[in-house]
Amino acid sequence: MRVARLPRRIDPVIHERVRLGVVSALASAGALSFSDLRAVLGVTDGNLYVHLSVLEEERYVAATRGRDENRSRTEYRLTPRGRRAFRRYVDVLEGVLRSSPGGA
Amino acid sequence: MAATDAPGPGPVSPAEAAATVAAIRRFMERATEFSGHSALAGVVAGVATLLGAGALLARHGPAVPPPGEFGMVWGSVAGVAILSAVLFTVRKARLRRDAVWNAPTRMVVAALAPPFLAAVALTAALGARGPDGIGLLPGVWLLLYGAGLWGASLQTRREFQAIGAAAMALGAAALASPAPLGTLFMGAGFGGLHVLYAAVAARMDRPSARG
Repeated sequence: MRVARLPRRIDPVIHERVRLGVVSALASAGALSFSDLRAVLGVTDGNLYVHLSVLEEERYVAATRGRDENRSRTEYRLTPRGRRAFRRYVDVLEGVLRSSPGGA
Repeated sequence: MAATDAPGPGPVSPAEAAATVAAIRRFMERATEFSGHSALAGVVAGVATLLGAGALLARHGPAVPPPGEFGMVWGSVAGVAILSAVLFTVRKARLRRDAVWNAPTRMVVAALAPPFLAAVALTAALGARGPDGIGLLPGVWLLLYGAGLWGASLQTRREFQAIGAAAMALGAAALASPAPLGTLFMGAGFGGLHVLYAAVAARMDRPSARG
């Protein structure tokens, strides 16, 4: 999936609803399986798979693949690079809120 | 929020920033529902143990309680801990729309079952020896529980290894200490370690917009 150029400082990899959900959920929970992420975000398998692939390509998310008897089980975690990117992304949002009239 | 396959939008407006921060919080809170269950079960087990230890200390001070009371209190605490673990496991499976008896549950049960069965056998054998045998049980239980957690950590949560090691250390210390201190070791081990783990897990999982 092509990631379009967004305004400087806003990370285009994270600035998408599903990917933002993945990164936020992993920042909170530490590690989640594919089925956990699907339930948290309420998206289809295909949609989640596409966005996880983008996050993996960007090395924001690392997958550990294993097997549960006959079923594959993949667990996802944020990489240090992904965690830093998420922190920067939140900083940008907070900066926008602070600089707005009446912002904190 | 921007579509990423389209040309990039303009700068983020304060309204969009506020909505995005709110969305982040929702995602984090929802994710916590999937990760906080072992911590909640730990809180229940820890609080039940502290209450049990408190009741025994209040009634008997630092002494080995009578066998009947010892068995009733710690049997009840074990029952509450096991029941809470089952209930939280079922709730988590329902949230995930997953089978209750799934692979992670099977791994934890498989790791804890051998030391649990050993604990049952040792409890019967030592309990039959009266106060001298009963005085050894807190140390034995802590050692076996710690060994089980350590084993479970190899295939589930890595945090269990540190808790298992701490429980084993407390069990060894309990066995090397005078028997009347057993209730204190039970409170520190099964109570304190569970509550400490829950506090650390809750701090790690606390919903926040900060990474």
